[in-house]
Amino acid sequence: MKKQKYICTILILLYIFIPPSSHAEIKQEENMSIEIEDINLNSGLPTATPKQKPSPLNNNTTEIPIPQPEFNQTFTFNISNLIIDYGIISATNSIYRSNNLSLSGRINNAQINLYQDHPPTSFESNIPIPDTTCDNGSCSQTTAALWENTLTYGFGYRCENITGNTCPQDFNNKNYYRQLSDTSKNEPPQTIITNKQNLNNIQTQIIYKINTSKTQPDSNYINTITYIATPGY
Amino acid sequence: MKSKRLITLLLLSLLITPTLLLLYANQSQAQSLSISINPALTHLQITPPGQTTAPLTLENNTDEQLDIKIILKPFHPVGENGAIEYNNQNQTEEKYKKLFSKIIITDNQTPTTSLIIQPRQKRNLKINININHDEKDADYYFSIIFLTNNQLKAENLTRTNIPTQQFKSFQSNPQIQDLDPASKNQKNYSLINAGIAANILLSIGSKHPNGNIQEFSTSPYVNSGPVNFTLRMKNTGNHLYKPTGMILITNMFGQTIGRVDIKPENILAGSIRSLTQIPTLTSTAAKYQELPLDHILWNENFLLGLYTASLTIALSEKGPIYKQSITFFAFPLYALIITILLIVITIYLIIRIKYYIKYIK
Repeated sequence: MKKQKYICTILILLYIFIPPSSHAEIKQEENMSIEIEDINLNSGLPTATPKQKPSPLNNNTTEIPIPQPEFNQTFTFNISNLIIDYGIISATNSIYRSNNLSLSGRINNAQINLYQDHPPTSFESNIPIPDTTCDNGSCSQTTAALWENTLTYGFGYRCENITGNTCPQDFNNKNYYRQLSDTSKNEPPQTIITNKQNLNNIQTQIIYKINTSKTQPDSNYINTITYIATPGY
Repeated sequence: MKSKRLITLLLLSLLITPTLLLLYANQSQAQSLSISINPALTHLQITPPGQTTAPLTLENNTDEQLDIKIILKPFHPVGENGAIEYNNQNQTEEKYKKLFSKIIITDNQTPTTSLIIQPRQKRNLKINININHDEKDADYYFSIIFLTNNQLKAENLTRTNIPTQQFKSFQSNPQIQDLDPASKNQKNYSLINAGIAANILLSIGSKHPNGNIQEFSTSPYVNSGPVNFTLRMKNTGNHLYKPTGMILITNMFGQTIGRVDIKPENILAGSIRSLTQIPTLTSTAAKYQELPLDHILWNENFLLGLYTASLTIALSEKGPIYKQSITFFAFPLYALIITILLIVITIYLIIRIKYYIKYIK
């Protein structure tokens, strides 16, 4: 009998301390009211004026904040190495080159888009170094994949974060590469850097890789890669 | 004799080293670019017929002259965080083609589509838009892109059967000449073009915002702060709006214990945007950097009991105002578990002691 009393006491205590699920209910749409009216921003909305803990922005007012102009509206784009010199290209000898990109100023939601006019192409024979398909043939302009096999040929790039985490996530894996979007094939530019973390300054390194087969003719290969830095809205 | 040789060597090294350093410095400067634009975002409103102008400053931060062409490109919002995506390159819509014919960018009152900016020079440009009376009410979103003009050279160079003269002009490019002479004969290069964009949000016609709260939510139960709120606003109208608002947090006794101001952001026509907050004065720069782009943080750590978060948001200075409330329960889970364990152990000990005393008696 006494045991039962103790069990009852424990159950009552548990009932008191464990929050019932009904407390966690979100008030749904019926609580939303839409009022179309003239608003005086200084009239104080809402009217709740109980004893207040100091609020973080404004201690005494509950007025809707009046938007302030943004002070820093300057948007700056820096890029190093305007010519990526691959030097002498020889078969199965992977060549790596890099340049750095950075954004500063008003860079909320800013991004950098990338495209090429075509893959590096011989202007004597019009033969290109094709876009890489990576080791298992799965990489594209939008998906990175592993490329470390010296018998996988082509041209590709990878993005490496210097500050923050601004490159696409599929570059988080080492030796993962993508193809560059090719405007000669109507492929849309790809966003390679986005300010997901609301950083004040973004710095990123782009690594280009070329690996050719023995059948690739000795020639002069050139292309143009374009980066466009765009602020958000 | 030896000392004379040493002095000569020392003098030579003193002369050669700075010369090499200077040469190296010139080379690195020739291969980089830094460009700034201000303002990065401009919102213009025109009631037809009418015209408007807006300033735009472009600055060359390098020691090299920049050859720039100006391109107008429409964009649309992508995702819900204020990022953009350009419309397909070859599919500039007819309405944008029509609009772009009415936009003139002037440099010192001279219409221009290309610019040459001298080293360290700042150029003050003006965007002029002239809208006829028959223009329909609509919003247009586009970028003005300032693109370095290397592309033209590259296009010429990469054509098949390139004339020798053009190849020679490529080799005579000062940037190419700076490269390693051994690799100059190989001519395996990627030329880099860089562009910087300023976004223009153009609203034509009368502006009455239409929209609603798509989502205002939080986790119904939290162990401790900070508390995340999701606020997604939808624009159902033809024009963008920039809402202002706040969230007031009250405890179960009706006391207001917290306030988060919503950061006013442009919500483009037909899109949804996740809103964030204005960083508080107490936030450090580091904390500000950590603020997310897709939700709102109420930075209160110790929470206990039932709370109500009341959102009040105005789509414009003239309304409409939307209000919505949600409740959430906060209790430190670990403290709860420890408390229950303590109670159970205490009760168990009491039972055991009572039983022991009874047994002794």
